[in-house]
Amino acid sequence: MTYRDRLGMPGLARVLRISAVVLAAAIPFVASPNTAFRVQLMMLYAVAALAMYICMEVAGEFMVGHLLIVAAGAYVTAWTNIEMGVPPTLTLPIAVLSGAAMALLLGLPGIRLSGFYLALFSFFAVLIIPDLAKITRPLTGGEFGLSGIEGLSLFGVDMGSRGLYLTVLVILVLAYLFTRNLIRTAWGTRFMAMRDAPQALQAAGLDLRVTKGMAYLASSLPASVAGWLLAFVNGVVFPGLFSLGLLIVLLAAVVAAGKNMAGAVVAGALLFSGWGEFVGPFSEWNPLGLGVVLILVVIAAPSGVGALRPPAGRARSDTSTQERSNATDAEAVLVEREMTLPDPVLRLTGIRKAFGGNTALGGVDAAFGPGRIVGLVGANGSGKTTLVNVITGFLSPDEGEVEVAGIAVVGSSPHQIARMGVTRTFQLPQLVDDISVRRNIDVGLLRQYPDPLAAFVLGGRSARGPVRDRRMATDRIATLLRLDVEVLDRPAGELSLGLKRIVEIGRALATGAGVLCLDEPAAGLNEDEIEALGATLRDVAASGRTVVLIEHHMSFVLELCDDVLVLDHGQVSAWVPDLQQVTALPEALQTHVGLGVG
Amino acid sequence: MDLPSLQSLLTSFVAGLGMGSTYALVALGFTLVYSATGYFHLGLASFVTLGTIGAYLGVVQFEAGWTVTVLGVLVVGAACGALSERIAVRPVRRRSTHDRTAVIVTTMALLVAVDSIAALTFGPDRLRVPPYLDGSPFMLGDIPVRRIFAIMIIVMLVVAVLLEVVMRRTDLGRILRASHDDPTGVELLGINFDRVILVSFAMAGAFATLAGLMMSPVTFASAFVGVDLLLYGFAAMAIGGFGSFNGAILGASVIGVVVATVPLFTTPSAIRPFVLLLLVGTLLVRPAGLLGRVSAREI
Repeated sequence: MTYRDRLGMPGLARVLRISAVVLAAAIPFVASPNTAFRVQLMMLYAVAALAMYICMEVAGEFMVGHLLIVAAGAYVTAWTNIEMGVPPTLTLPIAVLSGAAMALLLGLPGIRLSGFYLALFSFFAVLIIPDLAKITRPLTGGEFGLSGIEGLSLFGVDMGSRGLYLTVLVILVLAYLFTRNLIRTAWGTRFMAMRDAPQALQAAGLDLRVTKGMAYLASSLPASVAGWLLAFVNGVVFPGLFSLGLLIVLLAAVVAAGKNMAGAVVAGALLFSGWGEFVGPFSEWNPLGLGVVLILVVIAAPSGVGALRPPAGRARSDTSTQERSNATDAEAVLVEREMTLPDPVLRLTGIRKAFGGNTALGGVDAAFGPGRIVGLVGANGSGKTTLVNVITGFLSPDEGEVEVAGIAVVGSSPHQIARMGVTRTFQLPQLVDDISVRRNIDVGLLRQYPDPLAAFVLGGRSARGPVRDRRMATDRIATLLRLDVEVLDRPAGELSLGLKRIVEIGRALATGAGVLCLDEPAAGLNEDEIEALGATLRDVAASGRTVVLIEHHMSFVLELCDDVLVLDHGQVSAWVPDLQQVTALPEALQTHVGLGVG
Repeated sequence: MDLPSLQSLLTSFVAGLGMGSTYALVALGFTLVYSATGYFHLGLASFVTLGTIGAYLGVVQFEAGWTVTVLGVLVVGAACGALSERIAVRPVRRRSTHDRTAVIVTTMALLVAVDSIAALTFGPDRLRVPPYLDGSPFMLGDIPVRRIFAIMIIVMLVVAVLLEVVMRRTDLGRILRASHDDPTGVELLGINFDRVILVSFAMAGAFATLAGLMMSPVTFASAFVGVDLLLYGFAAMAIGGFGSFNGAILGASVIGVVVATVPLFTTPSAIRPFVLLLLVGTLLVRPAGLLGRVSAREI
């Protein structure tokens, strides 16, 4: 721990957090039971807000149905306790399971629908909680709810009102730590990649649907625990507890905080629900005040107050130097993982693709060999990116077949094709701007070295093995990319467009793919960087991997590529094998050289 | 359980088509805003509240008669529609990468704020509004039809035809149609797009207010009418197809009939869950709705 860490801002924030917890712990001993009761409710709302935050701000899934998960936890706890006589502590696992089931049920439409459909669907799902309670009256007691829940006891000892209060406080602290841990582990990397760079996640061989499901499950845990405790704190579980007003409180807290501000979510939830408790939860002043505040907050900071804060610097680096690998020789890495791929590794037959009436690809045939750098050349709109989209499964061709190592892949999803060893980069770099370059490259490693599920709860400590493996791999990739190691710990958003493209190549290399499709990697690079990129790509090809390169920079193409495919209006206008041995360039290529240089 | 008679089923069917026409007006408002901006304006639901309360104020409180009331309230509705764009949408537009979801949040906030102002001012009770057309139901074959349901359907059809004319014959309509196909392209043409958006919000506000006016004799005036229309209007738009006016009308008719007939078979509490189920079911099978188009994806 450095001097700065102990006395600088992070230290101050820690002191503030700890004193807030101590102050909160004193409340039941100094304030009236009624005040203590209201503070408990507010703290439980903060736990629910953290659940919503994980889903919305970390994973980028605009799902606002967490009140339904809280309700599921609360109702199941009340019902199993009252009707089945399950002791209070044993209702916890049941509540967690039913919350998880509810989260998946809510998320199910999210697999097919996205963005604002999901937001509205989950919003309406919360809106109909009173109707659902009435329909299921025999189970849920309709509008009057379920009452007669036992007091919470631990090992047979009744905890009393103060014990219950302290339990709520402990759960809030745990929920905060859970959220913070989650963000720091590889699961956090994966969720944030789904939020900001979903296609990069697919190109790294990770299924978006599974990632979504995991995000829902992770966010259901705090929500269902909050529901479980709510049953004991309130004593009665009825639909009025899960109102539109409360939804607005949680939403306001999450939206106001923005990205990477778990602490602000807690503060916001306490503040906004405190307003409700102050004017009376059923007063119309409650939604009015919240509505006005919410509009003002979004107008003042559309991405939350988190966005107003300067980006996290290098101070919070997660590298520990002593664990940095000493494998620095790029050749050694590649020799170590040399690949022998079949010839051709990639075969395209009669690929056709039209958008409406526009033919983007009009029957492309090609075959690429292993260990080759293949240039994909052509004017804008000649179908280069479309071809890469078809190869990597992001677009389905109207006709034709793509074979990877002899296996037909048309119809497979991008992550399946990535798992067969074909990955790509994107014309607009798909990176998570607010995490480090290292964690962005990690996205490519997540399939080989995932964090265990326990990391959800236990944080990074349970994931030492995979963390070390990923660190070593990332260091080797940085060396291969001729990338300054210092760059690895900078937030990706700080990099120039050119360097972002290099980071994308790093991520692609990290997947261990045999075929790398790079979409204009040299655009935005200076001469030195282009030279370094060329050397890197030669190393990659030397290891037996195939590089498919879309590039407008013609001197780079002529110097680097083994073979060149020239596209013109979706047709192959020339195939130039063994470019370096050719003495006279074919006419189709010459025009492009003219274009590129002139 | 007894099955309802064919007679009561048909009567509810007609009532459903009548109320469905008011849902269609709201859905047309949603569609108009969606076409112009790609946003979903939850706040439009509070305009339905505004319409019902306007009907109560005009007809009962000030005894101004229906004609004056409708005209006056529509002007207020259009003005508030434009105002809502200024308050809840323009400040957020294009300011973050997730502006679509940010607009959902601000318009939701607008909705709860406006509805709670209405509740604070007019109390939580439903205020009775007299029908705009007296007289006993006329018979269509064997089915008695309440006259106001017939009026609702006629008004909605007139609005739909007028809207179609505006969309096909005026510059505003051409710009709106073009912007629906290619939002950035329209701005590159050098059109004052902000004004187009403002006009579309004003029209949407007027449509939703008209819906409130039309349904007020049935639902009465209350701060809590609007929220239901949020679900019904959105379901109508989504089931019919995003951005399609005919789709919105088709979807609204379906929802209207569902809302009117579900209570014949089970409790009224099942209406909203059933509508939501219908909405999700439709979207899972046809993500673009019944009459919508699937847009091409770009990388």
